[in-house]
Amino acid sequence: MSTMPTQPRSAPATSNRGSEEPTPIGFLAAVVEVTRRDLRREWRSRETVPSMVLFALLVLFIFSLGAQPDFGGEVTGRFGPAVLWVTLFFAASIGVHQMFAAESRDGAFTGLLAAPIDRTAIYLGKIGSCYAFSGAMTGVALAMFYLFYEPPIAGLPFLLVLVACVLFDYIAVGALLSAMTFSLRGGEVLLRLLLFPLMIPVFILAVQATEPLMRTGALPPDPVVPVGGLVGLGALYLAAGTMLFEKVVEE
Amino acid sequence: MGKVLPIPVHMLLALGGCIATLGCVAWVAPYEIPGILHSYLIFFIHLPNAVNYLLFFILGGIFSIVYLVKRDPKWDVYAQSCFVMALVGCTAAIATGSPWAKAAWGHWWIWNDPRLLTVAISWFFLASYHMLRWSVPEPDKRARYAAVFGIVATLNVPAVHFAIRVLGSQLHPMNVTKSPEVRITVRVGLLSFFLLYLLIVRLLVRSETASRQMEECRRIVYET
Repeated sequence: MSTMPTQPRSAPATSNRGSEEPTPIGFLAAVVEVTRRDLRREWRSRETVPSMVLFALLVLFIFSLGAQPDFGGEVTGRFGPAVLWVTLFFAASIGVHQMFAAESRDGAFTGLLAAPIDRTAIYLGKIGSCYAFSGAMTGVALAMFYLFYEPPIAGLPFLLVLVACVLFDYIAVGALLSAMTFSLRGGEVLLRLLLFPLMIPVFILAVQATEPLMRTGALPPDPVVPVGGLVGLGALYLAAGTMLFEKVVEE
Repeated sequence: MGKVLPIPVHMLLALGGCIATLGCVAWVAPYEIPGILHSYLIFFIHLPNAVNYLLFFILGGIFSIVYLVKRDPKWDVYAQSCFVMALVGCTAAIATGSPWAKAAWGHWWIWNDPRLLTVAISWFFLASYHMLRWSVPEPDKRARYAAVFGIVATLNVPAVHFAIRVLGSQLHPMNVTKSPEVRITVRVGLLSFFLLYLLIVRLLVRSETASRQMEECRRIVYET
């Protein structure tokens, strides 16, 4: 009769337990994964995009109450660009804040930083997801803007190009500032205080380029200048953000 | 710098420079310039403030980069002091420019003048920088975040200049410095205000360094 105790069947296997290393993923795959993670979370929680859309509609409505659009007339040409871009800037700031504020619960941000990926991939991934959310908000806001103001539809393709460039510039800087401010007391207000002044050159270029689109649907006299300027600013902000993000999130 | 230019000597030089500037305004510069009238005299205070705020803004950005590279707190102190003087200078430039605008153009503020808008936007950058510094309690984090924002804001200054050029319209008088007397007064003013700004930055550096040392001592005492 054996006196040796038999090993219980539920004893864990000893061969590989605790010795498996996570498979490193490439930089691009990490960026895509961070973006997908945020998109998945938003799909489940629906906390960012509905707030952005509702806020954009509210701001647009209140501005229009004051401006009294005249359906493609002087008010549309004179005030339409400012109303449109201020609405988009204010509403997009919600998405920018949520980029990292959504990570503040349950140590999610610490977990994200501990992931075996380049931290710049986190920065780019966050830009990707916020761009998607802001794009969805902009689609709805633009549709309502065209309903309220009735600017010439011929200007819409170039306006979409401007929107694409402006949103990228906004989010590239916003991601850096959001990572700085999300954990601070009063961080939401501070984010706007930091972000809006930095966005003034982008705002000026956008409004100046949009005015002829609102008046007659024609392109600005030299369309390369605003688009080139916005692309150049986007490259500058992306380069600065890529180099500085690591400094912001280091412990 | 204390050995090259002791603070008392620096004070005397700055004071002498300011007196010289006022003297030049009173006795060297012409009483009025055709087309601009004698309200232009505030130009000799307005221009040095405008030039020096921009200079110290850029210096603050450079010190912010050096801090992020070297991580020595003294560079953060230099950057903070430069940005404080930049904000003071920017405010002074707006405060002296606005009455001149009212006298010369009939309005306290013009919305399509590129230089006015550049200075106003810079003021918001600088005010936001200081808001950020006040909002972060941890010293190391505060220095890092301020350095990052200082760098982004400094890089944004040429972007502002480029964007505003598309607005067109140049109302700022460009023919002020044609006469030799005006040029002499401008140069004396620029040098004097630079010495004054540099003096205040040096005093701010001393004050902030002492304040941080006190904070460190307090932290050690409370922890032991």
